[in-house]
Amino acid sequence: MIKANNLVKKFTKTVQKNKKIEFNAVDGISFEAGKGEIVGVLGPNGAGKTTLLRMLAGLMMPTEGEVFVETDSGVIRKGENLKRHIGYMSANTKLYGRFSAREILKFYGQVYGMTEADIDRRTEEIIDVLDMEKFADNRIDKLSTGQVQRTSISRCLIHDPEIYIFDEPTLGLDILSSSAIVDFMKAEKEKGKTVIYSTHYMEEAEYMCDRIVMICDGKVVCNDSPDNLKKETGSQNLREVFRKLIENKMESAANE
Amino acid sequence: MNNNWKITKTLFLKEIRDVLRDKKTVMMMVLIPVVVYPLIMLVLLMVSSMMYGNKDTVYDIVVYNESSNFDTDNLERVLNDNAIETNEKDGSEEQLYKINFETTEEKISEEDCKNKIKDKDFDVYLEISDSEGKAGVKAFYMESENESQMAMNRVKTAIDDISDVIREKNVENAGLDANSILNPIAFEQNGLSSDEQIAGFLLGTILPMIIILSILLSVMYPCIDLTAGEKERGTLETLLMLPVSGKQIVTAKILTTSLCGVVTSILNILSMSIVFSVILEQQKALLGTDGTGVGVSSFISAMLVILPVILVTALFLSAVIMCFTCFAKSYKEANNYLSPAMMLIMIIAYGSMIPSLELNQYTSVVPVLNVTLLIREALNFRLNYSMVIPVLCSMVLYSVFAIMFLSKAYSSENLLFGDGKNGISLFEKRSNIKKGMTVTIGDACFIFPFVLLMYLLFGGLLQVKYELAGIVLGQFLILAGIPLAFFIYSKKDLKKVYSFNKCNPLSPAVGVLIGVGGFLFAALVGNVISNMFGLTVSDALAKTFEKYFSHNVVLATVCIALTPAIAEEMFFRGVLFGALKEKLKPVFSVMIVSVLFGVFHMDVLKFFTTGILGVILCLTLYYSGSIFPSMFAHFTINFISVIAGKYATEHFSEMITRPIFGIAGLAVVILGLMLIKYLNREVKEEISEESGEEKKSA
Repeated sequence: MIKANNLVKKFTKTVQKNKKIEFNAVDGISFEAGKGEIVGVLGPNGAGKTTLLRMLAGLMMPTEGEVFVETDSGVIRKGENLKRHIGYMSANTKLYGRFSAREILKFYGQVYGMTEADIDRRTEEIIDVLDMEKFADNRIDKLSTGQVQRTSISRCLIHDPEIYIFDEPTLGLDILSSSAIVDFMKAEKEKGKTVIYSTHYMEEAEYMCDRIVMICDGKVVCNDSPDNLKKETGSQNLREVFRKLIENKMESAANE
Repeated sequence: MNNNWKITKTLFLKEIRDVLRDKKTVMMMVLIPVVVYPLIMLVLLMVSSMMYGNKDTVYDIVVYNESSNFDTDNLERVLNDNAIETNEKDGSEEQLYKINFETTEEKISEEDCKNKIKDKDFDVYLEISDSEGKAGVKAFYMESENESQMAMNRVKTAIDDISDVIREKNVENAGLDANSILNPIAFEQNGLSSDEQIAGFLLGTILPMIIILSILLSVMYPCIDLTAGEKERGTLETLLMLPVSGKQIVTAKILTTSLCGVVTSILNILSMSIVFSVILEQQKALLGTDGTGVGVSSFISAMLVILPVILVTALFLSAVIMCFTCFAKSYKEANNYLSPAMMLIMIIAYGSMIPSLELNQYTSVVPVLNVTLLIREALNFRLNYSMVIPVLCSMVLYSVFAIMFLSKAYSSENLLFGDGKNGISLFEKRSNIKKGMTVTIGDACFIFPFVLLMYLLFGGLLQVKYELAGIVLGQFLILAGIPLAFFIYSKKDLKKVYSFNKCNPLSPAVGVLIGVGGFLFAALVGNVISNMFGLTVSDALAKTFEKYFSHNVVLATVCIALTPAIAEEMFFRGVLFGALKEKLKPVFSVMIVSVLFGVFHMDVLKFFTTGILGVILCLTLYYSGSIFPSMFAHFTINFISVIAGKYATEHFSEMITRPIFGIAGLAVVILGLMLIKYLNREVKEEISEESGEEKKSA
């Protein structure tokens, strides 16, 4: 289980005439994601999704608040140990183009301190699950977008983490590739893993997620199951929920 | 620890593989030293041999003779004789070049002559006439034409030879002894250098530069690739998601680039030695002699010294270059950051060309310069081996600092996501600079080298010109003045920057106490170290100010005790320590500032003593929260040096550097620091509360 307590991240940004102001990209967000749960983080562009996910992954230190992971062996609060329990992937986590998928998996396994036998076994497993046999020995440079994305996911799997954090994993993929990724997340959920992921595809989120956390301007707008959200807002689908909630929020912000 | 090293090793192997799979890097690493450099050398050799002419070169000489006293046939004969070299051993002859000698019946005007030389009709035109009863030869040639210039030299030698013969004949005709008149002094030149030494001397001037350049070039590309390139390709975030520390990442990267540098420079040296020995063999075969008799084997000992130096240079250059490139987001940006650094390194590498620069205790701690000089002296067979240790140690030390800095940078998200808080205020628009900020590390990194450079250049000049007054001027104008101007421009809160905080009224007195203790302890350390370097005790005590002891005590006190106490404290403890302690742990801040303070004194011996004093002064500021106690302590230390230097006898100096006094001094320092911490515990809280409130209100 991963918990975020009142996370705040301050940034300075440049507004007109080169003036710099401080603002909270993430402004007091708390939530948790338990075992066997898929949590979708939705929100308009610039809402703070990526910053939130980076802090959850331990890649960024929050200005205030804290992130911790509860495992069978105890509570892990920060640093390199936290990273051992997380598989993180985003548009910015590219792979070494001059390596093959197999080599990358081996390298990551070694850094996570796995034994050679473990690495080999796990690599074959992953290649089988993600159907990577055809291209596992080609350099990443030479692969198609979908193949690269699958390799990226395989990279998160090698150390068998309890928690997956994916930032827009299906962005720019065709239906076949994205459904492979969606199926994979579902399968991991069945194994009792936690998946937190952000997306702009509402249908996908509605189909996938046990819970939706919508954020806007760094604050949580709602945190509930897709069905409950639809009921509360009287909407047909998640797309409508999103428009109703976010538009409301933005209007009230503009009126202030 | 073991696991730590294992991860670093895994990262290192990954980086190596990544670099080796990049064809551009491999080309830079292998092709340039193995093919390009030797090729350049061969071309240069060919060009130079072409300039000196060969047996197929023909020098055309045209003569117009209206003199009756001058024998042109004789001139032609001498010219042709000079073109043939006879081997002394076996009497064989070799044609060095050819002479084509023609006479003309018509005078040639200067203008025509010019055009004909340009068109290669001939190379030199001689106009011979009689003047004042002797033959006058006017030779016309063009300095800008290589062959014309060479032909002119041949003609001049021939004319000199003919003159010699005539002179000798004339003297003999007058019934005198030609030898004693023409050569009144028997002069004999005896070169004592062996062939190896001559070759070493020649190699020593260029090879250091080539080695440093080849390391620089081979290190540069992987450095950019592994830092800015990694950011550009977007693999950095992937790397940082691994459970690895910044230190491990940086260590692996630097080891990789260093390895590239070492491999390249060794390949370079090997290929150059092969080319050299082939050329030597060729000449031996051509001349049929023993040639120069230079054996490559005699340079093996030099190479053994050069090898570790190459290692540390590759390490140093990697670390320094990475400090620049890690802030860049793309190749282009990295190249922009690197250009000034590259220029600087190349200029320093030229140091081996300056004969008066020697490897001594000063130059051995100047990075790059120490390496270039060490390689030169090793090749010249006059290396002082006691200098090898300071060179290696200082280079490793600088590299370690660079690695510490880089590790910090790689642990910070500013580097990764860049929110620009660590920037240099000078590069911002003034209207954007916030009022009342403290100095950032970026500011400090910018100010320190600039001020140091200015102080070395102009401060030295001022001292030479105005002596004591020059010190005062240099310290106040450069050391204190330049940063002050910068801070006023960037609207800093001067009280905060310089820690002009109130402190317990007793603290200055404790500062004096700390100064006394610090002096005694530093004297002991100086004594121990100077013994290691073979200097005498009084050297250690009085080295700093020895030139100035002849001056009036009051004047000396003002100039070399009071002034540094204010200016140096403002710069080192105020600006630098103030900036560093904002971001780094106090331990690191104290260490870095003290090392810089030691480096500032530009002397191996003083590096240690002033470094230790730097630590003591930093702690004084840190525990009191105010700069005034450390100013008092600094004044006391310098004041005692002035007085001791002027009045102390040898006996007194010896007594004062006894271990018992030094250890007592250390005890006094520790007690003083504890006391000052105790005295200022409340004041310090007030200060931190104040700044805390300000932060809230902001």
